[in-house]
Amino acid sequence: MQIDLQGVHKTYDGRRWVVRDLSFSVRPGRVLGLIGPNGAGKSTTLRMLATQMAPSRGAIRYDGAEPRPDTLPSIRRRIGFLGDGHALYRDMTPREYLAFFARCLGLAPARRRAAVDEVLAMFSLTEKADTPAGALSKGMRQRLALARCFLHEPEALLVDEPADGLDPRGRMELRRILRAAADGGAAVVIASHILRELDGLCDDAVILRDGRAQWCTLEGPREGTASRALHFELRTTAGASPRTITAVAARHGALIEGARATRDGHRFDLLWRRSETDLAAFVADLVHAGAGVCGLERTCTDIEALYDVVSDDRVS
Amino acid sequence: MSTVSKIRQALAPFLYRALRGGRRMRTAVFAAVLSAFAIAGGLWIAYGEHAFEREMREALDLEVPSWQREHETFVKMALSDGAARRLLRARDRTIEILYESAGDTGAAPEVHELLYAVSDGIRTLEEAATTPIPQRLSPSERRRRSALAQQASELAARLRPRLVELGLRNAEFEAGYGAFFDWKSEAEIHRLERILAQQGVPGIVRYRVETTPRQAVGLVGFCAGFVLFVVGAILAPFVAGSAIAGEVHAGTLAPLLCTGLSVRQVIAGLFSGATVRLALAAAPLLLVFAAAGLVVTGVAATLFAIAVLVGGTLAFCAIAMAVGYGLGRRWIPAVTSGLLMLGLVPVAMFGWFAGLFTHEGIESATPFLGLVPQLAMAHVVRTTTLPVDPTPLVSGCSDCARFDPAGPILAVVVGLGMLATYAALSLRGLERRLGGTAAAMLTRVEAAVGTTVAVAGAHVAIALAPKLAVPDAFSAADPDAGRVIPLLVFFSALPAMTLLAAARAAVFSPRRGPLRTVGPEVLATVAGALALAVLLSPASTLTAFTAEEIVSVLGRALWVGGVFGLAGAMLAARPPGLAGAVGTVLALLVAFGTGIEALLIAETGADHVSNVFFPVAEASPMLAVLEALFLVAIPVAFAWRLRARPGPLDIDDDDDD
Repeated sequence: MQIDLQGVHKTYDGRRWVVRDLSFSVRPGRVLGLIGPNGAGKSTTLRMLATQMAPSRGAIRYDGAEPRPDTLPSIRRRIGFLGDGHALYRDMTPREYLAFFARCLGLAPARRRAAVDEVLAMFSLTEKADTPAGALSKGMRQRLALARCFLHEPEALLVDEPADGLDPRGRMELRRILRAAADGGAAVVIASHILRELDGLCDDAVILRDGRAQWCTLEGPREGTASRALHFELRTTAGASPRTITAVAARHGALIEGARATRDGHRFDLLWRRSETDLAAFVADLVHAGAGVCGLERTCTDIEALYDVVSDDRVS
Repeated sequence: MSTVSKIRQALAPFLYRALRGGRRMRTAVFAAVLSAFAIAGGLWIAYGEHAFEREMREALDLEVPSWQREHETFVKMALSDGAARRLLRARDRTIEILYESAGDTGAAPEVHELLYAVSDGIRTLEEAATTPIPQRLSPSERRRRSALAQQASELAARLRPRLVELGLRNAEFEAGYGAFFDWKSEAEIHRLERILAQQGVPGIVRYRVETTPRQAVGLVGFCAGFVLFVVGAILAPFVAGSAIAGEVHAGTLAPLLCTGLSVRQVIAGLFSGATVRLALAAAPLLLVFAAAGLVVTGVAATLFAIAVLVGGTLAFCAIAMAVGYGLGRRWIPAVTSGLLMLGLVPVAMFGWFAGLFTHEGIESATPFLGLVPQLAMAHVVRTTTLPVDPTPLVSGCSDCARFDPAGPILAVVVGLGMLATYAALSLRGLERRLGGTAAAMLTRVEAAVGTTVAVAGAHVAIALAPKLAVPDAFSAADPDAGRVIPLLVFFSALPAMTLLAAARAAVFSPRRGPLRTVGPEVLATVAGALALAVLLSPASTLTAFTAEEIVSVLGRALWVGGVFGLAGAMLAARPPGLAGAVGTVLALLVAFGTGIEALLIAETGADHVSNVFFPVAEASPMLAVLEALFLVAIPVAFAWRLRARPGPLDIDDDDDD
């Protein structure tokens, strides 16, 4: 399912836009990160994408068509939506909860049983399948809420802060599952303000700030927009000359944002805007110039770097 | 997909959720216990001999009250064999005291009790002896009564000195101070004959329960009906409203709507899931009620009663779900449930007792049927299982011919029709809100329909009331009462209008603000409702008023309606904080008082007050100034709260009609 937003605005009180002039597409087979600080309008955008609320202005199209009252149920049936909060029934066990939603989704009995077992296993909930949701840990409840979204193999997955409460292993599994869903053809939208969770997972990103979309893709710089920038920390031995390193960096277009001496040598904060091939040449030049390179390490992720460029350091 | 499939798809998950695990079995056991209690309760009341059971039977007109039987037949009732033996001994002693002057009365309470009864009997004898026999009786009847009067005089003369001696009578007979014997009353004459036959000493009768098997069956059905009433008017709406509030709080409505179920299906599913266990528990009771109804009143009455109970329950649930959703968006489920219970229980209990004891003419309560439709449900429970003979109503009444047994049925139908309208509007509003559209809960047309039904319903109900069955205040035929009818009708529609204003104002154009968005239509609705109330009233109503009275009375009514409407709009559009809530309650109390004042002005008219515009000025001019201040300040305060607060955005998403 492809979802297209065209000039979407939303206000709750008529005095302030929660989101304004959003225009982007959520495409099948791709993961889109909806990122921004608290209050940026991520959850509102997600709810509008999930047809839970109507835009105040603008249009959202699903496979090219705006939803009508008669088409809304069929559109919603193709969406898996995890809003803010777990949306659980505390007295139901995971198996009962999933079976209930599988029934609501109209799955046939055989498929229903298979789907419930499958998502229980997918989110490592099989052992807790018969424990009331109210007695589950926060992470387990989040897994259950996520599992519900996968019951019917939706064509669009809209998840708000999906890694909230998950342990590291759970986060890794979640990334794998979301990636697999996208690879299976689903359009995936992840709203989060924890950027590292999205790094390496998103194909596209929409950065929201004050309700405006600031950026639209991770595939490379677009014309008229800021370039992609990567932050590195360069460590050198004590004998290396900072002047030499500065000269080499200048030749390769690397911006040294900061330098400091340590007990073992020097550390330089670099801002790199070129390709990885150019980066390899830069490192080779440093070695050739006798800079005593001990290490070169990314200090922030792609998406953090991207966010840094466009959002005036208002990253959460 | 067929409608049946859609309904099945909607209900199946929620029924599964409600009945999963051991819940089905527990519900079955609960249903059996509940039915057993209802049957046992009915039989207990039917055949129990203790004070509680006896008083219940007396209250339900299944038994003549003991005091009445004792008075009419001049006996003392013994509630047990032991009491009967004691009373018989006391009677012998009483005869000794009265006729053989055998010492003082002693300490036995039964003797004192009997002597007081003797004294009471002597009073009747004295009244009969001194009250002239009416001339219009036939000669034989006059002769019979004259003989009785003579015997009464002789027996009274014989017993009075002894009673005076015992301190039970004054030396001088207190006749002439309102003492009167009704020689036309066969019941009184029968009592007189009994007193004479027993020489002034009451007989002793062992109390026996005289409940017939049919009455016992009716009582069992009545108990089952009571539980059904509680389920339908309190428990089912409570759980339905609480369930949707819980869903709102848990945030589960969004995932449910994302399953592809339509909003209607989700509403139906939530309702069925919330109430299915109650329905299963009540199902055997419904069978018991139906069986009792069939035995006592027949098929038609039973089916009508079941339709009223089921329809009323469904309607209350629909309204409760809309209210529960609205409250659930603001408060946690526990608070919402508490508020629902607070709203449901007092009204239901009032409706139950009013419905139970207005069997003598439910029409007398018709103006309230729109407000308290529970009254209609209680009425059908009562009349289906314990029918009351309307004859006593019309006996001795010159307007007997006007009594129409169809009146109560029509009144119930009107009440439920109004309830059904509100329920349909509630469902429409809920559907719109759950649907996530930007529209108000109700369109202008729907709000106007709701108001019209509220006003017209009250009018129809009043029109149904035969004169003999209604208090003067509600009688259109009474020229004085006729003056207050338009106001009564209008005020009975106020709660509906307030809720409808709230439903309209919940979503408003930010640019125009709530006041400009819904203010004009609230005022138009109030004015329209008042006009309808006046125009549908008897033709003489308006001519009975002076121009000043019309301005004062209708102006006040309009003000009261406007204040209630604006308050409803404010609570929905811009809910106040604690201080604002207190202020709102005070403002509504002032409006309530102003409504009462309008009724009093309408009833008494300008002839009885020097200042028809501000009658309170008679007490003190300062009170009139204070009233005028309130009349201005309250609407202004509401309007100020509802004013537009211009923002930078040019958004206008009204005009939903």
